[in-house]
Amino acid sequence: MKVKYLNIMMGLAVAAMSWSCSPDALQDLTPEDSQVFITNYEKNTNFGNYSTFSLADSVFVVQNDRSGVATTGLDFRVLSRVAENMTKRGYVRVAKAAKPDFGVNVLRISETQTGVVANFNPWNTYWGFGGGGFYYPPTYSYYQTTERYWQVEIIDLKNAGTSNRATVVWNAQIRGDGIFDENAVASVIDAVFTQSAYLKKN
Amino acid sequence: MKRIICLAIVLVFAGELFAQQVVDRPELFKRQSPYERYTTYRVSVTGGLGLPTGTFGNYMDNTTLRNYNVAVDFVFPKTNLSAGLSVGSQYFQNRIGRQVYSSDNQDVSAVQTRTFSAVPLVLTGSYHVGNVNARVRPYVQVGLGGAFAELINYWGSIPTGDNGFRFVAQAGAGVRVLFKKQGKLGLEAGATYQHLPFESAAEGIKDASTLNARVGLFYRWW
Repeated sequence: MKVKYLNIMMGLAVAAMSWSCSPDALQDLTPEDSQVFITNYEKNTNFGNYSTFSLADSVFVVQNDRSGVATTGLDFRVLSRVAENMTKRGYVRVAKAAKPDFGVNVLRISETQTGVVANFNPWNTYWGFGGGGFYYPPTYSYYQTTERYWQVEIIDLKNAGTSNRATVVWNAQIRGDGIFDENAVASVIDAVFTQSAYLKKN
Repeated sequence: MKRIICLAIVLVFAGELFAQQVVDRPELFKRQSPYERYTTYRVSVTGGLGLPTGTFGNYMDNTTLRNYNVAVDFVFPKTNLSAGLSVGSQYFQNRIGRQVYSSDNQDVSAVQTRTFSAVPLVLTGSYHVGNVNARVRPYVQVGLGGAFAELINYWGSIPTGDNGFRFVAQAGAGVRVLFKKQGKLGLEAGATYQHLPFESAAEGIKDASTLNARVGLFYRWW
């Protein structure tokens, strides 16, 4: 009789294990819906007091601990869209030598992360009863995820003075699927400006 | 001669056999059913509607039908009580269209997919109304246990959230109806309130309590 209960308990345990795998919540998520626009700003900054900005003619590429610059067609499209939006907000684009108030950078960031998961064997006799005394240790799998996203930064050059340290007063992250599509870049760049209504010249 | 003796012996034994049956059969039917004599077993499989309540109700604006439960009980014959173990599975999901979420110095525009799953393991005790063999047997039930609970809020496809093993308390009532008199299989229907504290300041919830209404089948044996 005792063994009978144990069978029931085992059955319940196995049922619990198989049920604990949740259905995929994101399988019907469209690329547009997967896009996330995150903007942060320095609260003490009065964006109305600034009037000029400069923008680099290339995109910074940051790949884990390496970095460089890129000038693909897509990068130019993004840079010109950022410049357009800044101009629309009343800021005048000037050369770097003309002492701009804002410095604007566009970054393409690619982060690779490595993780490890343990795969427990549900038939492991160490957990169960009886059995032939075999013990299968859990096996481990490595997984690697790479996320690529855009980052736009505005740096306060006006108050930086002669020091080499300038404050980032605004930054935007554009993450999700489809953000590197030729046709989508204009709208994703517009989106981060749209949600930052405070970013305009008086 | 030999044949007659043989026949006589057979007749005597046969007579004795019949005599025994005449005595025993009514006795056999007078005996109580095993369900009234022994501690018996019952397994029930149910599923149905899950309804978020309290702070969780504000957060998860969606009911679910992914709500299952398997319970095994020891049914005691004399006291109208039963005790057992139940394993459940509940999964809630709610998608919220694109919105801008603003905090102190941050604005985030995203489509949120809020999900919550719980696998409660609960020790239960039930009190039944009516005899153990009654066709219709209402019951009330309380349970205490724990749940593997996981809250994931996907901002776009970026997951944030919390998970862990949480305390669970349940209280419920229902009814079991046997398909046949003295039968083994029956219909079960009931509702349970499940209290599950799950505090998440980021998501603005204090608990993930739910009201569960389930129907299903039960089987009993001895």
